[in-house]
Amino acid sequence: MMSDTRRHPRRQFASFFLPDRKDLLWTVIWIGGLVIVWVWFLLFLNEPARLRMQTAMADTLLSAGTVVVSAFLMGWGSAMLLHLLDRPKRKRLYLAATFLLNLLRSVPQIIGMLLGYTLLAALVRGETMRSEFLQVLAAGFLTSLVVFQEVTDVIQERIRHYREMDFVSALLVCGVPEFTIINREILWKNSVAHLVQKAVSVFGRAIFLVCSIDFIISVGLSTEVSLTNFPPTLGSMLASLDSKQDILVIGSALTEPGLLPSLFFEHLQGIGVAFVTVFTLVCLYRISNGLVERHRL
Amino acid sequence: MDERFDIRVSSGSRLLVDVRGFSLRRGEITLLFGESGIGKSLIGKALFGIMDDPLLHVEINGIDADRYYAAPEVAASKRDGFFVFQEPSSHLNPLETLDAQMREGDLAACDDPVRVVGTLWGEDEQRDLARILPVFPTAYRPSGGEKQRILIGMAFEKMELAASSGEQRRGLFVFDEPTGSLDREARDRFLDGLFGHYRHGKGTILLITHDYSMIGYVRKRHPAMEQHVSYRELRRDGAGLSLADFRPADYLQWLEGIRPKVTKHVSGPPLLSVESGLRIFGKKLGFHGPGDSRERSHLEIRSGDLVYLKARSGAGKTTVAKIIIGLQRADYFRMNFDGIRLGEVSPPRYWEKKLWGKKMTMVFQHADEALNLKSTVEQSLAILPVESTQTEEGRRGILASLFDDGSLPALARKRVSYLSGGQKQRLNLLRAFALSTSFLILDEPLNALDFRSITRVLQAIERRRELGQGILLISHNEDIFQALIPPESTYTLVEE
Amino acid sequence: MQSLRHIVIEHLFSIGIVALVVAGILLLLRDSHGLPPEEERAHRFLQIDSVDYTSQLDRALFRDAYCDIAGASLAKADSVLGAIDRRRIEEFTNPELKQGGERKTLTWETAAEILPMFAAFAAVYVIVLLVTVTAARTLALYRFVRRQSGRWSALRRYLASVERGGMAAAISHAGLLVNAFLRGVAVMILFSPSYVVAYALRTRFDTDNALFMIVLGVFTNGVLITLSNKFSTLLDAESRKGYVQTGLVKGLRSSYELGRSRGISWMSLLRPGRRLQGHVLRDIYCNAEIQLIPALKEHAAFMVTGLVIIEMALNIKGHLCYAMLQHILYREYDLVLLIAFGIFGVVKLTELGADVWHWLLDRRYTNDV
Repeated sequence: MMSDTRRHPRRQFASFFLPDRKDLLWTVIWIGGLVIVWVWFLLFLNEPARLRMQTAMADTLLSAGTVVVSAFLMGWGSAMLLHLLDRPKRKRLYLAATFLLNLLRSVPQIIGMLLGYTLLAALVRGETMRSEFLQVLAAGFLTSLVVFQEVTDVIQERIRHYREMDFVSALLVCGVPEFTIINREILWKNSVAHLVQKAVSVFGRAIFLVCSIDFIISVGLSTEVSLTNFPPTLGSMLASLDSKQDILVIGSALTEPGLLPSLFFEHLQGIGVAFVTVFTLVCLYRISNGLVERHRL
Repeated sequence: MDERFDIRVSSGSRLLVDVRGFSLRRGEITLLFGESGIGKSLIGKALFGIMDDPLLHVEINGIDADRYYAAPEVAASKRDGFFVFQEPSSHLNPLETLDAQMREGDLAACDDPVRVVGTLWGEDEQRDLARILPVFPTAYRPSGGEKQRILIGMAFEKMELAASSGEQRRGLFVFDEPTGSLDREARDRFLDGLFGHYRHGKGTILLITHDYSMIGYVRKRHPAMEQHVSYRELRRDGAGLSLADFRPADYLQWLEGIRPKVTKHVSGPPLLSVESGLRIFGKKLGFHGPGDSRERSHLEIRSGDLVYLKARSGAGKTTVAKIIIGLQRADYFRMNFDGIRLGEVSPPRYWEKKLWGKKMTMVFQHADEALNLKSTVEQSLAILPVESTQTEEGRRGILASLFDDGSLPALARKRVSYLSGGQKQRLNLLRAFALSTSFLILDEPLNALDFRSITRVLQAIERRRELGQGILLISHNEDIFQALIPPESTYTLVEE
Repeated sequence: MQSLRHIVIEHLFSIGIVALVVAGILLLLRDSHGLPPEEERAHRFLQIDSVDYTSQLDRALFRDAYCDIAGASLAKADSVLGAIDRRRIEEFTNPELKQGGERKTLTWETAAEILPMFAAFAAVYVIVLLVTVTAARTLALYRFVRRQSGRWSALRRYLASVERGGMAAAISHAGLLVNAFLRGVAVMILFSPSYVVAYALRTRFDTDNALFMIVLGVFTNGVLITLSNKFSTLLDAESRKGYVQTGLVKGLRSSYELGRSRGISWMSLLRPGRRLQGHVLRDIYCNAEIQLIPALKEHAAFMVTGLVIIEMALNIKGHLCYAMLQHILYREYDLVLLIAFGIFGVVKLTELGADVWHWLLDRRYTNDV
């Protein structure tokens, strides 16, 4: 139970953020952490590597952001479609649509992305898609195909929650159109917290998937599924030879503690990329959890 | 012996309940009235020692709740007492049979729980009880009324156990809105049982309720108990709450004074006529009436008519209302509305395009669910597809019929979630009134209201009638509506 | 509640439909083995010995000649040069073209090669699934019990003691800070993509074995934490429900002290069913468990993703996903599709298993009408 907080800055800080504003706390930790790491790189990492890392980070975040936007558009669209089809007269279509979505859900994300990227690389090779911007969009769209159902699920769950109560019925019999009830009354007015939490969660998942697919392609596929035209992300940076060498040192440092300082000063590219990736994933996860706790989702 | 409590409940920086001098008579029964949402449940939980939200901070008589509950007498009153919560549906474990749940924990020592719980069922209903004992509770089975009776029965088990060991007199028994889902007969049996157990083992009983008609029943059937019963009302007093005595005579005299109003009906065919023989969920339903007639008939409502539909709890009144309003598909039904014949094969779009919000509408039971808690009061009206709610003036005019003029500007901008239960229910009603449809269904319109609000709402319903609206009313406040509505406008729903 | 037959049919139907689609694509692929026309042309241009495509002069001459002879625009000539450049690079780098390679196609022999790798993959997956689910459940229960007994995290306790006792407390309670730091490292590892952990430990351990894969599969990629968190959320939601309150009023045990006789024993975290009789946690746990099963289906696809990433990142010859990468490299798409379909089948069977398990549990608590 909270006792009276005296005007002590540390106590105020603690009682502002804890126990129920953990999402804000971890957002501050994330941004603060990235700033500290950037300053460290400024001091101890060579400039070309640092610039490459900055670009990679920006591209990763942009990619993941595209995935979120795309997933939300598709998720909202599919939820509305399912809702429209959920009538006695359209039962068959509804079943078919649900069946297709479930099928998509069962495809392991990485397999789906791998197949999609192979297709995309073929299009790029065949000069059908020259613009780099279009390539980023296409990559984002492909990735969102494997994550958008989470958004569909959350929207459907919110609609179901209100349908089970008298909420939807009461507004229907007042003559309010169903589309307005769902989009304005349920989603906009009562579900923003849920959607924001889902956006953060999808954002984290997208970063994980984009980095992983990039890593795999860079490691295992040489030029076939060539992403040399694609903007580099943290995953491809991690796959580069020097980064891998840097990470190997972590293992060595476990048994030779003398190597520990070198982790922080010499092998910065690999360690840095690995740290930033994992740190970002952890922070996004904590932010997502914090939102769940704060809004009792 | 009066015990006085100062109770403060807060969530973070927000003060939820602040009442000074809340008095409870030890070893006696207190009936606590007051509008819904004011904090009666929180006070009951705070006194008993069972808060469901760990983030709530409770202080009793200036002491932190944890310390207060550690005191031996307080711990004993909880250990030897019981708490019956408001929403029966969520208070039963879906993974255990009802029979097992009646024998759990301390109740395991009760040698015949079925007998104790069975006092809440009529003699001809004992088979119904036997049928639901091996059931795993789901949303629809057993019914809300049955679930509530099971929970009350558990409290009775505890009272019996505590009485046999001489400990009941120490216990605190709190019943939070125990009769919301019960019809009148079941409610009467509850009161009989409660007084019976009280006479046997004493104890302190706090009964939180909106059902003012209990007053009449106590006076009529248990006059000797009146010396052990206090009637109190919790009211808003500025920023805090205060407890005042509620005079039973006020209510009884008001009830005496109600006279049925007879309106000159518009001659001609009824606005709505529903035929008996409705089939839904494997049941066949019909109407008896008007009045006490046992004859099978159509349910008929004319303009300016207020028709009261009675039935036992769980019979399907709300379901029939939803069929009429077009929200529920029946297996078979026939009705005439405004000259058009409708049935189960009629397309749902007909209601959507032609009827909803234009010719018919419905007010649902639970204002908390029916209203958008995140909207403001004004937005709740502005969303309606009628001209009168599109201007600020129009909205204020509508609100003024059930809210005080002085508080209107602030109220209009207030978020619905910050309104009291009574205010929400009034807004719920106003939303329907603003549509000015020719036909209106009211499902438990007096839910959550305190005495003062009840009188205002009844006046507002009367005004709608005078304007020629046909109204179908569903309510378990039989005392009030049987006095207000003449027998020729009363029907009973029965299973055929 | 759906009937068991309905559930099984639905899943088998999905597998069947996808099998049909895959078979259709395989048939199509069989028929198209030639080079695309543009590449064929580029290939022929490259065979002109006298032209050196690395020399700017030769390229300019080629451009002019092409425009004159083919009567094409400069842009078209440039496009042809671009195709030639790409073909050149491919001839340098594509092993298939370099070796004049023999492409593998889908035959009974090649399928038989894949089968044991697939069986190994499936076996590892099943072990990872079982271990992860058990570990997640235990972890979630542990965290729930800790939260209910009001225990703060090590970091918060450290901050609280520093607030009270200043610098002296900061030093004497430094153990809490170390505890919090170690927890932080553990969380970082659990969330780490598996390739990071794999490469970090490569010098210390022999990473080319199934045990290492299982350990990575359970303890990286965030799978354990996400599943544990999902269960934790379900436990929290159940603990707020009404029947828990009524259970407490009935006198069910409610102490969450770990290890005490009144509270929760350590063993009951591992096997919560029977050992928690008479405690309100048993009701909470049982209700949450039923809801976890549908969540497992969501996680099945992600767990497989994690394993695929591990195999591909570790790049171990003789493993399924290494083979898959090789097939993609050599453009043996029919084999790629076969493997992808196999992996899809693994996920579908997991979902089927979860649905059947859910049906069995549901049936126990369903009323006979």
